[in-house]
Amino acid sequence: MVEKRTIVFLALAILVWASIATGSVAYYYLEQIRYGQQVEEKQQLLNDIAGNYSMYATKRNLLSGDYAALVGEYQWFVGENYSSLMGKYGKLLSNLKGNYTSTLNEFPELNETYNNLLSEFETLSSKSAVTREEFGSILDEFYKLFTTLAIKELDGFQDKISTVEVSLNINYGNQTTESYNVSSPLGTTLFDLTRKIANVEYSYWPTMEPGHILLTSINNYTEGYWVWYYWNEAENEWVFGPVGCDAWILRNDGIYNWTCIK
Amino acid sequence: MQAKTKNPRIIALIGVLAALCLAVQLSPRPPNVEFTSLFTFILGFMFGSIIGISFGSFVMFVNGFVSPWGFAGFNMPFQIVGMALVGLAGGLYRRYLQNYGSSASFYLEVAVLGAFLTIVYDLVTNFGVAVSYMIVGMQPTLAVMTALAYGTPFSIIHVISNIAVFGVAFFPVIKALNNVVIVKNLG
Repeated sequence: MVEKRTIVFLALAILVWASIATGSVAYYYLEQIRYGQQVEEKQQLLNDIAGNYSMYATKRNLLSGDYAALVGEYQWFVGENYSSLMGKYGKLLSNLKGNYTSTLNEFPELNETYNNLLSEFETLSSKSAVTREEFGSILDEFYKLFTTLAIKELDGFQDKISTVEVSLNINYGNQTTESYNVSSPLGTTLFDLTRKIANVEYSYWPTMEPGHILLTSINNYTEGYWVWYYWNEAENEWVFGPVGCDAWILRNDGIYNWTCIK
Repeated sequence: MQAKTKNPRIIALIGVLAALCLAVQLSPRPPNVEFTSLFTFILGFMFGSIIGISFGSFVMFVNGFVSPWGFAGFNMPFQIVGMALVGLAGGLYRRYLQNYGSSASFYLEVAVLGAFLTIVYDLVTNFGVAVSYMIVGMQPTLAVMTALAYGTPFSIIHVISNIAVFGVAFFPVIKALNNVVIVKNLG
């Protein structure tokens, strides 16, 4: 005969087991739902990226085709006045703006490049004669801008699924240094990052390549020239920024430094 | 005269044990591994349910402010009620037990009781979490289910650790307290 006391404690033990089992099942169930939702979100994201990529490829191919046709005409053009090709160039420029409006709005330096190109085109259009060199020059600039915009847009798709971790120091040259550890989308340039974390003023240099941007102030500090360096892990040393900050793509675990030199 | 000396001594003992409990509560430890339940249960067992309830409530009240896991906030009343139930159970167990030895079955019995009281405590405090979810607008059923479900991993740690703590430490502590002069004097 089992004692009443034993039955009571056995019942308590079963109650404990049942509570934990029920809680565990509920936990598992909720986690399953959560994982399901996450998978669905990721799938949706992948579908969006695939859709966007398809759109990206289509418009890139169309613009490339138009550009190639114009280059062909330019190369086989017989004569000295290229102004007859300016209309097609204007249409190409307009299509570029129409297809990459959001990217141009997102990156002010590229927008400025576009405006400069447009201004150059308008100046040439107003002339009665356009030389081969002049037309060739704006054709080259168009291609550079077009490829940069296409790359930026492609990077934008990758941003959604991947980021890089970088460190950025801002040395004001007056014993004041600020350090930032930030996550940034893949394809972010040093200029993009600096603009994101600090109040930046800059000048645009059309002739400087690659990259057209020089910073004139960071957080309203203008007591010198702002130059940038990156940390070379292999050599264990700071390396002077070899290109404009808007042309330098940040890499994962990269360390960057803005220094104000008086 | 005897009655006058009893109360201050009980208060002093509760104060010392409360300080001990809080010191343990504040020390670095895995989440939900604690000794407060054991001490509360023991005080209830040794001095009756009222003392157990008071002790448990007081410790959880202070713990609510100084816990390394942060201010208990809205959950504090539920923690107090949960621990008070443990103290109450200590007193009731003493009445139910009448006499006790230190056989293996008693150790097992106390371990089961510890597990059960831990589950009760966790249910009460998880319900407190559910109420806070309801306040911010979650549907009541979902709030209770979410709070209980996501509290389960912590409950498992809590139950396992309290099975060990109650099962291993209860009778040795009772024995030690019985041998302490102050307790003997308390009758």
